Amino acid sequence: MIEISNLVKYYGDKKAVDHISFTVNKGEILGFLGPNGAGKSTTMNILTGYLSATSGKVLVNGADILEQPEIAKKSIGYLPEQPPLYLDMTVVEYLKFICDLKGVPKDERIRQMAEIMRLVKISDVSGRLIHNLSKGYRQRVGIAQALIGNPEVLVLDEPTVGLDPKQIIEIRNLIKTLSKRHTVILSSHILPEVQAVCDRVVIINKGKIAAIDTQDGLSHKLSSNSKLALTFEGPFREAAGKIHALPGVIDVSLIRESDSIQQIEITTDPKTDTRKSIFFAMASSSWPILEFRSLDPTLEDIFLSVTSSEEKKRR
Amino acid sequence: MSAIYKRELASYFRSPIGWVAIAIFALMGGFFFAIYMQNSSSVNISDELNFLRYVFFVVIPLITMRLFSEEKKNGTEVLLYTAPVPLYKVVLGKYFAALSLLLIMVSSTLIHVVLVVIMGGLVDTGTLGSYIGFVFLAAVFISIGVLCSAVTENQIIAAVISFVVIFFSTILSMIASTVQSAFVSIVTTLNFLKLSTSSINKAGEAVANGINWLDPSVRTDTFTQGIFSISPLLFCLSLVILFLFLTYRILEKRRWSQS
Repeated sequence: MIEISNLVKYYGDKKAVDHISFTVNKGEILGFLGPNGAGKSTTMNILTGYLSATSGKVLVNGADILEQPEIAKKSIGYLPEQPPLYLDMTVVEYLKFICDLKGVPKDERIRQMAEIMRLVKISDVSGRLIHNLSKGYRQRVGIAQALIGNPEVLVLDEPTVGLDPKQIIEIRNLIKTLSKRHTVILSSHILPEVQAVCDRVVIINKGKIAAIDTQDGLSHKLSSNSKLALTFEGPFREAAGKIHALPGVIDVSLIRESDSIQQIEITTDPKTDTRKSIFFAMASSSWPILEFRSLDPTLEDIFLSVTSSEEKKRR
Repeated sequence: MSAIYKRELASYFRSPIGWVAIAIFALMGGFFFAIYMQNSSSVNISDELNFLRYVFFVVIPLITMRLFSEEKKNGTEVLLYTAPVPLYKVVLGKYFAALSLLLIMVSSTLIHVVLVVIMGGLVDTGTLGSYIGFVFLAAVFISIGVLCSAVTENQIIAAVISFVVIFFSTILSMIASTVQSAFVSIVTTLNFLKLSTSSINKAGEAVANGINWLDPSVRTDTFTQGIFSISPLLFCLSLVILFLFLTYRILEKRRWSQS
């Protein structure tokens, strides 16, 4: 669907994007994750044809964004970080203009506009000036704009920035709905967002790709030691000693203590399954287990370990 | 292209700019016409249009300053550059929108033509020629304004630059005669080559002609007498193409820029 190879973009001496390559498959939601200033927006601006790369290639549906821009751009709907809205137009006027701009055939226009307005839930403000809309509504109008012309790919740059929690959830649900019909590339510096929405994640830092994988794959790859959370009733010191003595257990640490109920975190060697032996050890001492679960590393852990290991490598 | 043209033209009338520009133009035209009618035995529309040329350097920066600078400031230029529309069509769409607004402004003077006809005044090919020359001159200045708007994202700066450029091109014939006399006096005092006075004067004339050569309004002057020729129109058209091409290149360059 989209092939990005060896993308480089310089701003002065600064390499904003440094040899980025990845592909986006049809029908998936790709999360583009990185701290502010990592090169997310620059990459998105290049792949939508707004900026030109210093070197490298972007193919959209086989069409080069520089050599056949009209064909490539037709299959992309783009919502930049700041929604490109004309504040002096009403929502309908604006969407009509976008239809004109993208060359949507006249007879399809009304149907398409009505459908999109229903989908992103802006039908009730269709006659109002964009200037008078709230941030959440403006963001939706921005998404509506990207949807016009029914492009195969949607590129959304930080679509939930500046919205309140309720609006964020609504926009995320909307993106999930959209992904049924479109390939979506979504950038964010908010980890739970990517975790909630995306199939695959590209992590970039300082213009370079730090990792590309599915969420599960990333979790596996980075769980160099797996963690278990255990809540039980009993004395901490004795229990810790007993668990620590079990084969495969690397570390035991106390998370929270209230009355006689302890919450501990056990770090184990991923090669041995220690769960059974922990259970029997607790049972034999009559310390009832109240909660026992394995802790997968969150994207936050992944992100930190990936970006910090990149830094270590550089040094 | 028609999408951009339509939006741009409509946006003139959504904001006060379009109305203000038309008002200034109609007011100045009407003002001149009324005074002229009172003080002169004959009325000539060509004189009114010649006077209205001095309104250009106020009105044209006003209608061109926001064309590209505002898009850049509001972040809406992303929309235009990522849409499946080639960049030159964006430039043309905006240019023709500004030109159309100017034509609307000029059409406000048609009332005066009607009045002249009713009162038995003279309306001839010279009048038509004046209109043609006037519009072509405006077309050149608008392309300058478009270029200025593409250079900066600050509307005020865009307006000031185009004001200065249009102002100096309007008074180019005055500049030419000043330069001519300055040239002649300097060369006469520093006459190392012992040139004759007549040849110095000739050289001075050549300098003035050189400057006037650049002046689109001098070139279309014969139009007011009803004498038409194609070359002034081609000259104006070439300037328009040149400035719009520069606009296009500047916008294109920005995408590639690395700063």
